[in-house]
Amino acid sequence: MLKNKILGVVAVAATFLASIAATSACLWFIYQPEEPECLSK
Amino acid sequence: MDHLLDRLADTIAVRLQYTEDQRAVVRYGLVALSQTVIIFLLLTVLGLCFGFFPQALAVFFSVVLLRRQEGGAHASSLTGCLILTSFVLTALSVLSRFVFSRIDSAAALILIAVLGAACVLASWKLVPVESPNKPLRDPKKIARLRKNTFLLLGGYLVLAAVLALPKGTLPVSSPSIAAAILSGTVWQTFTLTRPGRWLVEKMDRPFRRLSGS
Repeated sequence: MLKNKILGVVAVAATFLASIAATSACLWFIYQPEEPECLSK
Repeated sequence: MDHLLDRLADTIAVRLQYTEDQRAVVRYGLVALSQTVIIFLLLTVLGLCFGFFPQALAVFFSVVLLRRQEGGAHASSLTGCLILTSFVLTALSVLSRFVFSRIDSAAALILIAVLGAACVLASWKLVPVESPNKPLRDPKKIARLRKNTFLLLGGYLVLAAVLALPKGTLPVSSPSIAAAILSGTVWQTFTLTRPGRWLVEKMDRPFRRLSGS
């Protein structure tokens, strides 16, 4: 249960940053992975 | 590093019953999260140990906020990115704290004006710089990124100029923070240009061989 909560927090943080990155020109350091299609829509 | 993030994304997707799209978004966000946390922690630890923490913060935020709007050169792998970015940001922070801050105020203001003008001109011609993994097609988004770029550039240059004024002119004066802001701005703008992309590719070559790409 605790592990699921921790994973949930990580997932929320990652999703939040992904949504910020989607509105940007790129990720904010010099590596740019392929952006998921659902974020580009 | 990529394998670690893949495994973490898979674990999250299975445990939280995410769809494939949700898993992909989390995986993408984990790259951003790991880059940010690792580089910020490294700069914080080194900055606190060696006395350049405020300058490290100034370089970090000046680069990060500007890069979000401008884009620029990219490394071929996450590991390469982490090592190169940590190296460059640490070097700029150290130089700002111990070298550039010794430049006298008049010379610093001239440098800010000249380098600032160069950054504005380069950004006017080049921003935003897209990546093959994140193409930029929406004209409204491109216009917004350009507008934000020049707002940020203007803010940075004014702040750097204020901080570079001689002591006693204003209540705040910090030549080293001014240098940190300017050097972060110049570095980020440099990565937009062809020589900047060439340099990043050269620095990235050992990591490209390691990652097999």
